[in-house]
Amino acid sequence: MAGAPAWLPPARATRVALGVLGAIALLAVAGPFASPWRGDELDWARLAMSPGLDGRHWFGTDRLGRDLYVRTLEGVRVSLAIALAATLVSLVIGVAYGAIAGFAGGRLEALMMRVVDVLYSLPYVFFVILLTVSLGRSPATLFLAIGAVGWLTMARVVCSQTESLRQREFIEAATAAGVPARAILLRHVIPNLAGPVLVYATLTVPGVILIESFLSFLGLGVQEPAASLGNLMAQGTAEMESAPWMLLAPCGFLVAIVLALGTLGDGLRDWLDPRGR
Amino acid sequence: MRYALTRLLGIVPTLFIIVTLAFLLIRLAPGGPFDQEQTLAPEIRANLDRAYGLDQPLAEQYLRYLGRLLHGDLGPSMRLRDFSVNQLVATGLPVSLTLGALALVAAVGLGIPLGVVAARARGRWPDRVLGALTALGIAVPPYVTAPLLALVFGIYLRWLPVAGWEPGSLRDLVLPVAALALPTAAYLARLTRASVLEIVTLPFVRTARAKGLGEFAVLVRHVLPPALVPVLGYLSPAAAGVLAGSLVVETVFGLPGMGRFLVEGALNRDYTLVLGKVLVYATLVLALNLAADLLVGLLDPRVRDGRR
Repeated sequence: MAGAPAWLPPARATRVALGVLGAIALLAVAGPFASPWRGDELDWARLAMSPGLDGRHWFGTDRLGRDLYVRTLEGVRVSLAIALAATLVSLVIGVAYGAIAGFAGGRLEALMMRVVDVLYSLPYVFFVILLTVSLGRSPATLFLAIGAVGWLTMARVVCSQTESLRQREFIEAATAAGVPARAILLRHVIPNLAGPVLVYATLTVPGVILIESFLSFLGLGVQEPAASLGNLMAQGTAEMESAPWMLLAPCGFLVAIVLALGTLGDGLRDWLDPRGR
Repeated sequence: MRYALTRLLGIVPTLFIIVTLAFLLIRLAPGGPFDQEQTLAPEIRANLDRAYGLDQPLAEQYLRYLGRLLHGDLGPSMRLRDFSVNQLVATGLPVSLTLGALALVAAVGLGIPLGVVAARARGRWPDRVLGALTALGIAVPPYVTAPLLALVFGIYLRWLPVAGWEPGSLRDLVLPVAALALPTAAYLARLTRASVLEIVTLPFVRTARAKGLGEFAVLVRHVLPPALVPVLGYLSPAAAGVLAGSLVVETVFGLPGMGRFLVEGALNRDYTLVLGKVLVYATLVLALNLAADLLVGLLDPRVRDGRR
């Protein structure tokens, strides 16, 4: 690994994953500008056209003549944005809940973690479906619903971490010095949770992307005319006999993103916590 | 036995929580089942509401629903007139169960042996190839594999039907089962590999080898039983995942399973239909959790006796 900058994670697979993710994110943000088409523009002369240079539809068009290169990249952007937002929601709830439970200890901790256990045993996908129905179908409710369910693992990880932190000397010293519990929690406990929280957040993102595209695939998530990887795949599935390229482009991006995020999360875990393996 | 009974009783409060949460969630949703029919006269609308008990206060409706539920009655569907939810569940459940059970069996039958093979070949090419394949398998969800499999084997190669369902026809089931089983099989293979590698370093395995047992006997009699405990532990989340996946797989392959009408029902505010189906799914997941836990108990006496 000679010549690699020191701040990069050591494993080569992790760095490749980071590069792939960066490239996809860059493409999702800047890529659509390279095409002469906009996502909602209809090219009446070329309906359901296969990928090619004709009309500069690099990934082809759908049945309405919309450019699939632009729409796929917009879908990637929407899926990534929802995933990041939902991860943030689950991160905030999970860290707050877990830190409070772990720091309080005793009965309160037992009670709070019992609630998490019960919620864990519920079939969460069906609850996300109910939530998206009761909150209405929009990207905002989508990430709220996913985030509201996704915080459980984070709460568990944070709780056990906080519990072990609580017994460390510097916390004891702060308590002895008369620092109020809230300040200890905010100033001393939460900053020390950064490592595991980062790792589990990275591992949460691909899960969220999968749930989002699952819901959008079923028609409960992102709605037309907005694109997301899930609803593009649903349209591609409906048209796969006549226009298979409509299916292949979003599938390819989804698999690449999930694979890269999984590799990145595993790599980060090994890097920050060498005991893991 | 006592362990099994306490676990069985533990399901009841969980089910109660699920019923309550699901009931509240779907009722919080704006709109009602009869909103879409624009031309409904107010009197008819009121009659409809009365017929389905929607004119009662929410608490009253909830208690009534619970009461009927205790008799195993999921109520009438509010949008699919002339059908009770029980009838809809009864037609869909066998399809979904066949699909889910076959997928789980396929995943176990494929995943565990592959995991053992990878562990035995640690670091050599079969392990590397399997490692790459399983990483891919985990990243590819059923709603990607299902249409891709249909595209390749159904449309290009024409080996298997793209969609459809005839009772007893195995050909119809090959692709849906494969799409559902692959991610689970990949995950099981990884778990088995890691678990076997951990167990083979333990002293009792060395003892078994030292007394002259063949490699295969050591593997089957001494390594696999403890190595399979975490693998079986994963079976209950796997079953939940397979059930969720069956929703999309049924949609893609046009199978008349439990997933049918669920999404439409959710969008049309068909309260009883959605509640009923979610409850059946939830009960299935809980029952499978229980079954997996009991299996772990059989393999690992420490869990069974409550010792840790």
